[in-house]
Amino acid sequence: MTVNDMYTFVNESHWEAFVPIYFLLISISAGSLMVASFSTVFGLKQYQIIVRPAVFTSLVTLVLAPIFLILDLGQPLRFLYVINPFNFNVQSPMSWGGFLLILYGITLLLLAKKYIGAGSTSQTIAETAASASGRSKLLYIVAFAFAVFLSAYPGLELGVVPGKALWNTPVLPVYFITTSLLGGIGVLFLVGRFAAKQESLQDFISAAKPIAISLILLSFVWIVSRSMTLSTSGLEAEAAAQALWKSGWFLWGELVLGLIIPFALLLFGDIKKNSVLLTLTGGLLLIGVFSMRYSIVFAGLAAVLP
Amino acid sequence: MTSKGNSFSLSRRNFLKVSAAVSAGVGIGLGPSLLNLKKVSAAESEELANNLGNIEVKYTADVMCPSECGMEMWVQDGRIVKIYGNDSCPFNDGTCCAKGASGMQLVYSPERNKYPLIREGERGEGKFRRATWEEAIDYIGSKLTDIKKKYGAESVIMDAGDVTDRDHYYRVFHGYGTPNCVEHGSICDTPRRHGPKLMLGGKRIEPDVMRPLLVRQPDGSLKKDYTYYSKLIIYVGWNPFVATRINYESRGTVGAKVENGCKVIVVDPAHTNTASQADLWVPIRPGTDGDLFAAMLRYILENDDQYNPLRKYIDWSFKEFSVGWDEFEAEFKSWWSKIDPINGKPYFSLDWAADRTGLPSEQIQDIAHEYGLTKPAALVWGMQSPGHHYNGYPCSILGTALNIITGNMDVPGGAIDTELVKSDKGGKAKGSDFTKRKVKRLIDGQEVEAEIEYLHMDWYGDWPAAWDDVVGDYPRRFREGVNINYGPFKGYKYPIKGFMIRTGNPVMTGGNTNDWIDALTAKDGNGNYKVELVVNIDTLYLETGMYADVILPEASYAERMSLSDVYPSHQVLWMRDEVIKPLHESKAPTDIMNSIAKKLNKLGDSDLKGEDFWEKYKTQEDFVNEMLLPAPGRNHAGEPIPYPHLPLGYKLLGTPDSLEAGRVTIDHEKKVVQGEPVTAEWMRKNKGVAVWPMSWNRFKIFDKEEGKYVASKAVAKTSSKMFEFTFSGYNKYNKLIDETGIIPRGLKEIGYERYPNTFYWFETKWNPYTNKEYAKYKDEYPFQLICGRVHHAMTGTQMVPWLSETPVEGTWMPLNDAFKHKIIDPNAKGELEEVEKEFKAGTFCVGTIAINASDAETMGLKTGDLVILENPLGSQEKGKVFVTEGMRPGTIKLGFGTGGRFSPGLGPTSKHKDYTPNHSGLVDPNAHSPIMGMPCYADMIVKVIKD
Amino acid sequence: MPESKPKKYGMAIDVRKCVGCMSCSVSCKMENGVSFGVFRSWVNMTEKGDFPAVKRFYQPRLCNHCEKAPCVAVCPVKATYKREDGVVLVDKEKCIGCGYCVVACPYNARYLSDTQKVADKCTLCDHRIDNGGEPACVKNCMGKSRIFGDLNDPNSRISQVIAKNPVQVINPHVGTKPQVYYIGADFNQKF
Repeated sequence: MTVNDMYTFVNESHWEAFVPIYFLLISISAGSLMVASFSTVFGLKQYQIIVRPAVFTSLVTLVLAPIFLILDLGQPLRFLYVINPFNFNVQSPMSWGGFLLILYGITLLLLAKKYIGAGSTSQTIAETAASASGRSKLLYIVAFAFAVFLSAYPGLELGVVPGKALWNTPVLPVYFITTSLLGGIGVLFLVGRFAAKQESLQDFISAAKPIAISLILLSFVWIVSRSMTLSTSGLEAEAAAQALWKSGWFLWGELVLGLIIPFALLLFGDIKKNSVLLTLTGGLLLIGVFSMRYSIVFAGLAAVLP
Repeated sequence: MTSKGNSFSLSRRNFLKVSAAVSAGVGIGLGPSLLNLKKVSAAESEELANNLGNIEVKYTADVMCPSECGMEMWVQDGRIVKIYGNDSCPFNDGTCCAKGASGMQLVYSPERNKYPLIREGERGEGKFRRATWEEAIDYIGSKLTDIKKKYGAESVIMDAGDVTDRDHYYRVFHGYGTPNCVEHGSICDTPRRHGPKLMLGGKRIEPDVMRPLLVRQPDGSLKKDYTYYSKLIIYVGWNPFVATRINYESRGTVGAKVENGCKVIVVDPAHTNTASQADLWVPIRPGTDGDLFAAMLRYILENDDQYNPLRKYIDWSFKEFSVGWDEFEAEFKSWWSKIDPINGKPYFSLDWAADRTGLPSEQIQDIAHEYGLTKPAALVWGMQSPGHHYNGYPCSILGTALNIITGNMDVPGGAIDTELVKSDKGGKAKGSDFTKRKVKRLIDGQEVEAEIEYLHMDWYGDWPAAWDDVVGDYPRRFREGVNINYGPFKGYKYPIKGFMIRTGNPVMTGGNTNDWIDALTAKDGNGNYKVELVVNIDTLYLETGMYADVILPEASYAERMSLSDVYPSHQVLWMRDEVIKPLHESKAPTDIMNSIAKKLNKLGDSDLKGEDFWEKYKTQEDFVNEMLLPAPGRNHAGEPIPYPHLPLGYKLLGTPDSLEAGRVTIDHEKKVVQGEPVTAEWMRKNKGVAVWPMSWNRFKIFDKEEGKYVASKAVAKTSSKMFEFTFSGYNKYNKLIDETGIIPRGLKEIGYERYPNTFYWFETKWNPYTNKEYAKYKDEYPFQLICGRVHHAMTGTQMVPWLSETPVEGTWMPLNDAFKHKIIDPNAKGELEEVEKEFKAGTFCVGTIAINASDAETMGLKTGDLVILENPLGSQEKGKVFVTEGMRPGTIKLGFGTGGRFSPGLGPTSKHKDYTPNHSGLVDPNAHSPIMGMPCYADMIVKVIKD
Repeated sequence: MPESKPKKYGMAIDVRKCVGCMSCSVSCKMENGVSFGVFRSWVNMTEKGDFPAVKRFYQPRLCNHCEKAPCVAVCPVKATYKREDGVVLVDKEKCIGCGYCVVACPYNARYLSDTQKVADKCTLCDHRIDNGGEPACVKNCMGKSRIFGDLNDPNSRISQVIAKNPVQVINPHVGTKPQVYYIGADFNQKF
């Protein structure tokens, strides 16, 4: 039987690229802080060297992030309504997200204070981090916890939406955490070398490499499992899977540039020695992280129930 | 299940949609939706308006389309802010269609004619200068005076376009001395009305589905009755859900279906909106509806068995109320032995009809059987056929005969000739009396004196039987002039020198567009326009306006007063009121009438006197009161008896309440019951509507002495006052032929010497499947071209953006190219405001070409592809196809007046003229149906060329 | 006398009576000043089958005023709220225009008003119903296909119609409990 959709109207969302850019920035912020936490919370020495750049990167991206959020609002001047406690909507991830951003921002500022004007060598800074204890340690733990939630937040925000099969899945937050970490590593590959001594940086790269490889593999698992689940969960989910695979941002941006090529570079390239390759890898990882956010948002919006 | 790639949505991004969102509406196990529980009154609506602030509620009649529904408009600070249907008006029962609801975007359109304009460039260039009313009327007045002196007043045609509010214009031009005052009827659907007119004296046969009806109850009270009785409705080439001329057929058809289990059959080459809610869609070949009717009648006559309940098709009592059946039947049967030259089968047999209609003969048999057996039923045919075909006359005659012999005329749930039962109105307002004035004309050196009416260009010229004039044949007369063939002025010739065109847009709708343009721009040897004066009076600047010398801005329908012209099932009348004051410099028809009359008088024309015009009709209301005098004006008839206390058969005049209360004087000699006259004031006090009681079986009356029903002779307007199967209506035209020996051009064309006395049959034009003359075109031009109304987009409303946002069938779809234009759109406060908008491709509805999916596949076409349609006359039109399973293969459908619109007055729509098809561009300029001269809009064939 | 339940407004659309005229779409625009390009109320059309066994189906659409409305759940500032009588509304003074509710609505019933820059949607014509009227789309409906009323009142026409006819809602699997009921439609639910 022929089915001809003569006319189907869909009120479309006004979301533009600012939304995935916003998601990218908070993911980098949370991701780099989570990477730094390997040292500050879990005591892994190889990561000491990037703690300072991570904290600053985190702070800078966190400051930039709301700008893009605000730019995307119909009523930018009402931005502060989100953090008015009387408006707090316990069911809304965005309500939680607003407060999370504030609290996380305060924590980051407190952390950053430690590193501002310390004037000392990177060694002492690393020690500052390593020897952290008591109240200071607690601050690191709190920051880490906030970072984890923040990195999951876009996934939650999209994940709670019913009727959009690409979003409405419990794995989405974890997928966002995974890619946030990749973004954190990527950005630290880029900024690390400006801030750290070469030998220490190499230690960090050596340590981060297997993590990045694992995260990429994990991303593949998410992608495969999600695509398979979608393609067997009825028409609506199938349409979502199709929309995703038809998206160039997903196929080329995320999959090829953001995952497969970095995967090869990490495995076969000498990124420890070759700074061009390191930059390339870091850049591609970030492209991948952005493309993932872009394709999720817009392929998700494209696959609508009529 | 496959999903065709035809889907698109109004969106920037390409949405990937899950197909098959909507599927079969199975009626099984579903009950009625309790229509009659809903009772909202206009009073409640007024209360609501009061609660919402400083709002004045006004009741009026629409003119966004000729349905002219009863409307309720809310006015705030002198501006219309809301439009709804008037709950007190049973015709639309409070409903209001998309077009009606969008009225504000027309009233407040920036594209309106705002002030008088006088042409500066050549006709058609669209160059005008702003003028004052005085200047414009001066220009028109002196030209008219000049023409009258040189050529006689009959050289001026007053074409009032709409039926609506035409009487003012008729009056002033009748007064001026021309009998040639017309409206658009003859380019509407005259062959469709022909049968009812000949046989009943009526016009439009519609199903009895108008609800509520005000009905006299056994206890003597009057109640609104919501009960449906219809069991079968067959709509043939009639698409009331889209061409909403008869508003109640929208809710009534689905109401009868859901509440009363009525079966609905739609016979149409296109799967129309009406077909979408039908139980059966019968995709007949264009131009063969008469063939179907003929086969149905033959089947019924051959198989009727009064003793077999499964074959008792005919209700022979119809013979009591009719004359001439035997002659009709004999003539009809005489064809049964003749052989069709194309298919070699005997006429009107099932096989013959199957071959010609392209329908299975079993299906034709089923329809005939079901129609014969199911009672009450209504067979209803529409403008799209037979209205649009050369041979629509036999079709409408057969349809009328079928409704009569099956006993369905005017029974509850049956078929009603609405023309005969609607309220009378107008009376002397239109000034027909002026045409009784005598004038002298010189014929071959002889001075002849006779009444003006004998100078009528059609009735005493080439089209004596054209009751509704012949607008479609105007271009020829613009070029060649008029020959009077009959009557006292026989042999007189006159040119057409003035064309007053008000609201109509014949360049797009009056036949072939190029033919009209040619005629309006034709020049004589001296380089002067043959038609010396073209005046356009309209609210809107349409294509015809571009060819005018003077444009007068007419007040929009919300700014003027008049009466509705409508087709309810009984006498119901409502008033158009001045809801707001005329905008810009526009003027109401009464004022325009008076200013032209005054000017002519001032210029020395003593035929136009103050006592007939400006002194008599000082206000619009004076004119409306005159128009209301004859209401309701129908004879008291039918069951239940509308007014048991008043005599049957008498003509009723006056307000419903005065008749009800018996505040009447009865003239037994003239058989008239005169109540208190209906006035505009009375109307306003009664929510703008007058409703007199409904009754059925108005053609008959029970004769107690004889113990049976006999003809009431109170309703039918034939000469016998009964149903006529022998056509006495033609007698007076045959008399003209007898007197002069001149055979009218139309009759000559079909080889007739006289108008037939009873049943007749001839073939249509440009149909290779039924007319041997055209069989040779079959292969080269494989598509029959039909057109249909796109309710949203009749010629005068396409500047309304809301209507371009909502698609219709497959002929008005969002297939636009990207463009920018200023439109009026709601601002932040929800008020309409002019804004420049960017329209992305696929967001704005334009005229499209509906084509069958298999045909499209064969040609490799998909929705949105640009094609050229070319007819055998070499005319071409370009447009985008909309591919659908809902078209008969080998048939193409275009919207009427939707495409190729080139007047800038159409606003955003004019941006699409280069890729939207103008149906009228493909119409044969020389094909006019032979009796009433209607253009043959749906008799054409085309080939499709990929662009 | 037993205490009467609070009102719960809803709509029933008898699609057997929809004539595809688009009056609801335009009446809504007229009533509520809705901009070109967006709709609070509209009608989707689907054609099914092969010639000549083809049918066209209308699906009149509007906000479903869901009992479990995702738009209400996701709003970060509580600008979108559900009234006690079930009507889902947007507080335009409060809305920040983030568009989250627009993407969260599984029925595409919301949009960001391009003139007011806040989320906008069908209000069931709250200004009319609060004053005893019915929504404009119901008032003007050509086929009398739309029935508006109190679902909690067993004597209301809508309750009676729903009681007497099988009804469906659009995409019930999304789990939002729509309050717009369709009679005579058979939406495909197997996605």
